[in-house]
Order: sequence, then structure tokens, then C-alpha cells
Amino acid sequence: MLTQTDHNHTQFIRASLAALVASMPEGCVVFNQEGGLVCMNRSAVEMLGCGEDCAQVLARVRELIGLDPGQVSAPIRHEHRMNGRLFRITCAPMHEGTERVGSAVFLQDIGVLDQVDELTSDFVSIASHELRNPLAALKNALQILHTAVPDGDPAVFERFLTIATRNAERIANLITQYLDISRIEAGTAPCSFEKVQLAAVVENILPEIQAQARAAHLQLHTALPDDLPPVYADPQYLEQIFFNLVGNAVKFTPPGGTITVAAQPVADTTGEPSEAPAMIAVTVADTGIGIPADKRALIFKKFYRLPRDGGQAPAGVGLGLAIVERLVQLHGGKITVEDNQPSGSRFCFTLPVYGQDRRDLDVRRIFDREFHRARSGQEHLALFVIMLEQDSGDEAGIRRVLQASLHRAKDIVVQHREGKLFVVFCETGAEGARAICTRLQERIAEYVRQHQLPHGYGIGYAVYPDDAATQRDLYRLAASRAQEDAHEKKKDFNR
Amino acid sequence: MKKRKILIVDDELDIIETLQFALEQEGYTCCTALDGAEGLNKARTENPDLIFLDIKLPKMNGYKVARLLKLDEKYRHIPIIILTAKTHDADRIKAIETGADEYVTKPFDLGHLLELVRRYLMVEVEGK
Repeated sequence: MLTQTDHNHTQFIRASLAALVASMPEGCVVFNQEGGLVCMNRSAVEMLGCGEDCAQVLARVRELIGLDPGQVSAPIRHEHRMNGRLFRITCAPMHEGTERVGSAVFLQDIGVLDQVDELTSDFVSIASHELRNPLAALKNALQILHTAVPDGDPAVFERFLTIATRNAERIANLITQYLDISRIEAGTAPCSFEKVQLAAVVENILPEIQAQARAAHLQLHTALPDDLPPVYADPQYLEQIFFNLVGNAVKFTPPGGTITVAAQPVADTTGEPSEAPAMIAVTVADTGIGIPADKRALIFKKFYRLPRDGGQAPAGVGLGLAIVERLVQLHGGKITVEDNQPSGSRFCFTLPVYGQDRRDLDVRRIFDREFHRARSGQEHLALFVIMLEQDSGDEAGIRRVLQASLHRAKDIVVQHREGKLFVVFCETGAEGARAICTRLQERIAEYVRQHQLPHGYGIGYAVYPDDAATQRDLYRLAASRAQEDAHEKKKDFNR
Repeated sequence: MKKRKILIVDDELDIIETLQFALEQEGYTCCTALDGAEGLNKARTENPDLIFLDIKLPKMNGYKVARLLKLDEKYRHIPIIILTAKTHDADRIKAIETGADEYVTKPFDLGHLLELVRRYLMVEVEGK
């Protein structure tokens, strides 16, 4: 029997649930087992657009998922176009214990269709699409030069030669950027990280960016404190980041405006797997037209370009910021954009300070790269963490064992934190990871036995996307499993 | 004879400029629009004899412009030649379904395009 406290508690849960459902940005509809409407939030009413009448809502949901929600035995997901937008509809059965009590339907607005289509399409097909416009202009200009000019006017000759040259440059530029970003994404971009003074990098490119700013009638200021600690970075990539960000600022700032490049140290907020090294935050701010809040998430996507006033096709190829974001990530940093006061945009990216445990940074860099590759290629990634206790002795030996246990060229072993932690990346799913884990356990156990080393170690792994969807969770899960394993081993040993 | 007028709707200035030059060399007059909404507007007000229409346009895409014109008794006779960088069959089918008359992908051959214009404008004269 329910006591009064239980009753209050149930009431409280019910009220919290209702509030939660009401405030969700996703649409949510819950049906009971008889097909009756239990609850439905505002977002769902708006997205479904059929009022709140139970029969109509049920009919609409049936139409969208192609089934009666009561017949859905496992979660199903559909994508549906409504009013020029793309929606994701998920329908899942709800159980209380083993008894089926109803179904829940979630509706998620994924975005304007044109943008979704464009941004999720195959990279190669977008690239070839982007090449076709300048190629058409180039070809037209050459054909005109060929047929119309011989007996004609030098001004016409000049005019179409300029068009041809401009479009040839555009094509070349697109191909260069295309290759840059492909290399970065594939993890084959050559990098040489070293101790870098930001002031020196900025100094180096200052004449060129000053000239750009002057040509656009803009002021360029730099504000880098003298005592700024050096960063751990690839100077060439840093230059590229500055060129792209300042170039963008120049493009979107009307004459008379100001561009400011500044830097200051900040605490690290990016978290695992390293031990919070301090970071440097670099900002590039302008007094230009700014970026509408709803476009901020899109500007770092490949081929996204902000629409320009006057209807003309936007300038550039839409890869500049995508490259910047990936380069910043390659350094273990993050990039954000916000409004500049009183007008314009402010890009802010972070770089790690030099002199922290550099192996931590390498692990993070490799982890970022591998994770990104797995996510964009929709592949599996198994992350293994091997923790060694303080005095386990022969780290180099164990590293050799790890390397010898992995068979594929793509598998990577990284060692960090004074050799006490190994991280292994393998491109494999849950099955493969389990097999590799068994193999690693056996080989290391054998090595430890042979060399009579202390038994303080543990192995744990987690697989993307099966176990965790984010980089942070993946690392945490693998690390906590390694810790558990070490704990178990110690218990066994003491027994 | 009155000069035939061609409307070019494209958001790439260099394409407009080269196409316009080539068409004017052939004795046509041109008017231009940089986005879909302006294109639709000019198709209704400028009385063109033929329209070159890009698909990926600001404000209103080319499919919609073509559909609106082809659904309208007053403008459905104007030949529409889609000029686009989209090369997938699905795009071609979608364009033809709107009622557009031709589908040409970029980059194209200017000579071929002029030949197409000649054919459409001739057929129309004979038809009258």
C-alpha cells in the first residue's frame, strides 16, 4: 500500500516530469497502450501542426512513422521533411518492468532543408559543384577571347582576360584549400610542434595582414602582452589560422572599421585526457557586420558561406573557417565566436602553453585526430587505457609488448604521464576490441610474470560509438575500466 | 524586327557578364537578376523571350522560380533553360518536373548554348 510519503513523492515525480516535457525544445508525445494521448508538449504541437486532438495526433504520427505507435516494438527513427525543414522522428515503446505501457514519440528539428542537404552531402560532390561555377566562367571568358576579340577592342580583351585569370585563381585556391582540409582530416598533415612565441608569429605576418587591412581602409591593432608564455604549436599552422581569421575580418568589415588581435593566458577548460595545462586565448575581433546567432554553429562547417547583402554569391570557397577550426583542434585548443561590442564578431581560440607535460599534449592531439577521423568516417574506434602503478618498473618493455600485440599499421600506442599510462587506438568495433583486450591481458601478464614485475596494472577499453558518443566519455569510460581492472588484479593477487 | 530579350538569373557575376556579352554579340538584349526573387519579378515585368535560370540562388531557388512561372498562364510559354552546377540525375529530374524546358550543366559550351537559344526562339516564331 502507498504511504503518504510515497504518494507525495509520486506526485513530485509526476509534476517534475510534466515540467520537463513541457520545457523540452524537442517535440514529445506520449501515448498509452490503448492509443490514448497521455501528454504532448508545445514543440510537438507546433511541429506536427495538427492541433491537440488525440485521434488527429495519432493519425499524423502514424502517417509519419508508417506504423501505429502501439505496434512499435523497438525504437525506430525516421527523417521527414515538413515545411522546408528536416525533422527526425523517433518512436520508442515504454515498459514498466516487463509490461508494455505505451509509446513515446520524439520530434527533433534538424534544420532548414537546403542547409542540411548542402552540409551533409558528400564532400567530393560539393567540391565538384563548387568548381563548376568558376570553371564555367573561365571557359566562357576563354571562348569569348577566342572568337570575339581578334578584330576587336583591347578593352574587351582586357576585360575577359581579367575574368579568366580571376576564375583560374579561384579554382586553384579551392583545390589548395580542399587538399589542406582533406590532409588535416585524414591526419596526414605534416606537423612539427615546438615552443613558439606568439608575438614572433604575429610579427612575422604583420606586414602582410597590415597591407590587407590598409587596402580595405581598416585599422589593425595587436595587443600581445610582453610576458605572454610561449605556446606549444606548429608555427606554420598558426600563421594560417591568423591569415584566415584576419582575412575573414577584412572581408566582413566595412571601411573605417578596426580589427584587433589580442592574447592572454587562461585556465584550461577542455578537460581529459591531459592534466589541465594552462592555455593561451587568442582573439581576433572586428567591427564588421557580425554573424547572426543562428548562423554561428554553421560557419565552421565545410562549404558554408554567409549570405551577402545584395544577393550576389558569397565570396571565397567556404573552407577558411573549417580549416581554422581543425587546425585549432589539432593543437588541442578550441575555437568559439561571439558578438563583439558594440558591433562585429570576436573569434577566440585557445592554444596550450609550452612546458606542460608535452606527452599529454601529444596524446590529446592524436586522440583528437583519431576521434575526429572515426566520427567523420562513421567508423569504430577502440580506445585502450593501460595504467601502470608507480613502481611497475619496465615501462619501455611493456610498451614493446603492446606494440608487438597490435597487428595493423593503423593501431597507435601512445605513452604519457611519465610513462605510467599507455593509450592505444585501434580502428575496430566491440568484437575486435574484446579480442585485442584479451590478447593484451595475456601478453602483459606473461611479460610481468617472466620479468617478475609487480602486478600493479590494469587494462580498460571503450569503443566509439557503441560505448560512448563523445571523446570525453570515451576516455573516462576506458580509464575507469582500467582502474577497476587494476583493482581486481590487486584483489586476486592478495587472495 | 524587335530584338529578342533574354533574362539571365545567376548569382555569379562572372557568368552573367560572359553570357551577356556572348548573347549581345548575337544581337539579343539581356536583363539580369542576382537572386531568385528578383528573377521571378523580372520574368513577370521585363517580358523576356527566354530565361536562363540557375538553381542554387539566394532568396528563392531556381526550381521554385521555374514552377511558379510554368504554373502561370501568362508566363508558361517562356522557355526556361536551367543552367546549373548540379549534375545529379535527381536534380535534372526535379528541374524537368517543374516544367523547365532544358537542363544544361556548368561548365557548358557557349556555341552550344547559343544554338539552343536560336532553336527555341525560332520555334516560337514559327508557332505564332
